[in-house]
Amino acid sequence: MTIEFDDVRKSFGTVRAVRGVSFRAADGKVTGLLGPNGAGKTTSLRIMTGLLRADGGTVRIDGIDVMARPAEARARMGVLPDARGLYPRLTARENIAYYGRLRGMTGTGLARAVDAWIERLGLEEVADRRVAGFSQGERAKVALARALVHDPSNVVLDEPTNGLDVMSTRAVRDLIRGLRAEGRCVLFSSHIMQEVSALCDEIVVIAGGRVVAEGDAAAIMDAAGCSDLEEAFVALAEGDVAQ
Amino acid sequence: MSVFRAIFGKELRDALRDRRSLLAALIYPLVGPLMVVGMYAWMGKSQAPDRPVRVVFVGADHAPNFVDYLTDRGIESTEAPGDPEAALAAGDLDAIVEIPESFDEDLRQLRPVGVRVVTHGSRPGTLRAARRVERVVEGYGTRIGMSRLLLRGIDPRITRAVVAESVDLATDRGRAALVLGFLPMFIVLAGFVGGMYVATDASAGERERGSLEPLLLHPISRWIVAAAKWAATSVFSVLSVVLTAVAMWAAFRFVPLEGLGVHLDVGARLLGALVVMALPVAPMVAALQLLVGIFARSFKEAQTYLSLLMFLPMLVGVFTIVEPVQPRPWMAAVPVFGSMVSLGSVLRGEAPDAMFVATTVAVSALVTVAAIHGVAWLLGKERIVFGR
Repeated sequence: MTIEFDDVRKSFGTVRAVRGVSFRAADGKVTGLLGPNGAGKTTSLRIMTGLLRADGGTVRIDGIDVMARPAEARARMGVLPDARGLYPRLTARENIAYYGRLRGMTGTGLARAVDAWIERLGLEEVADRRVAGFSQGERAKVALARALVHDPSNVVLDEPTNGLDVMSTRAVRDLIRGLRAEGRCVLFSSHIMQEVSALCDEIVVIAGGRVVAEGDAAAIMDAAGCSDLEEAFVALAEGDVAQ
Repeated sequence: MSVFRAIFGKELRDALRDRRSLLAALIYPLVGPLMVVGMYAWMGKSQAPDRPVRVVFVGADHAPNFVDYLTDRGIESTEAPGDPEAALAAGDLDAIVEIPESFDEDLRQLRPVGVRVVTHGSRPGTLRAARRVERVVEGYGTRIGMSRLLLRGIDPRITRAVVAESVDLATDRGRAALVLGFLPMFIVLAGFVGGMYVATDASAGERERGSLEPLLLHPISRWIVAAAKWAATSVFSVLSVVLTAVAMWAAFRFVPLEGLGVHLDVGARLLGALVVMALPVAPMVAALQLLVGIFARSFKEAQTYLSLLMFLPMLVGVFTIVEPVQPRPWMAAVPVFGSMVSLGSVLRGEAPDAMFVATTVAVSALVTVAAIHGVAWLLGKERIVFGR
């Protein structure tokens, strides 16, 4: 179970958002896509879901080329995209079940999966309330549950802790660790240093649409010649700008 | 198929929980007939000939028989409070009839009696009332004249060499055209109003909420997404159109149509014909609304576009009221317009032309499929999926 980027490129007009990104996220590991705002993280993840067409290069999910066979590739992914709008007039349970049905799940299998994710994310108390009045944290949890309801082996999360308070952030981190323990391939993007260093087995640093360093925390610090990960990150990001 | 059902079911449930969607689909058909009945009542009042004329008689004592004669013919004596001329200007009074003191004396002396009919020409309907008063006054005079001739052994008919008999068809027809010309547009508009909120929510609403991208990254066909959303929207527009047709038909049964010069057999066949003629519009409008709605980034923007879309049938509708059209083959090929023409025929009591109706249905179906394809195609566009 892997996600592979091979020389992926994408331009919007004259802006070269992604210029040759290559990396590999393996199963049983958490891979962090680390980069400042506007580095090309979200664009890369959008290309991975097949909703954005790359100008060149390939993305493979379990060996399946996303651009050639998007439906099969998507079936193997659970994605929390940048946009995570819920349906305010539906309850949490209905929001989650809807995505299960879109994956072809039905009947008791679906009901059991929805229950399991509600429990796992601690949504029992609000499960049958309409989403309209939910807090940021509750919304994020519902969005996560519906992205994972079909039990995907590859999990892609675009800045999953964005805008969350400490408690919710902690819950999301616990979830990510749990997903790794279950042997899934987890790829998530973030611009928060501490989060990436605390969670990730592999770090891919992206800046200016390029991979500027990859490996574990030690390897990243080595590459930048710094003894501190944050400084290494800043050095790498600025180094790219200077180029 | 299960994906289609999932999206269709979700959109329906979502719409049923939205008060605006429900109001649009259910209130419009109910408001419609009320408006029609109100319009009938208003037209009946201003156009029906038997409204009593309200006058003030000045010098009624001089000619009690004359006053009785007028009163018997629908010219009612009203007590005007204060100044009658002011009441006349205010429209509380149609005319003032001034009877001279010399009424009896003049009659006896065979002199023409001068009866003054004072009116205020600026009030609508006053001219008509004044003419009626004049006619009745002259009728009284004619009667007396005739009895004078009879007394002298002369057949009064010799005074009438040529008699003009006027039957005013134009007013009857014109009135019917005005009343009926309005209805096709009204029924067709139900399709626009009924599905408007559902279409907006399913298209621009998804973009505004940021739920379109997560929806489309499922392993599902965009065509099925578009078709399911169209089906859910159609439920509402079809419901609205059918309800409007039924309510309109029910209103017909309570309104005295003959009094307005409308001759229509208000039976089950009329209802059936109305529904059949109006129905192809609803699913097509649903598809077009989704197509327009998906261009909009927000609910508000979509509402603006969809209101503009609704102006099209209104323009055509107003045009057909002013200038009632006879069905021509090419009209069947114009979406919405063809249906309005068919509805117009049905409401005039004409048998619908099978070829015309078939063409309308075929064109509507074609436009519907094309619009759904358009929605599916747009759902693949990066600026639609990500442009917020």
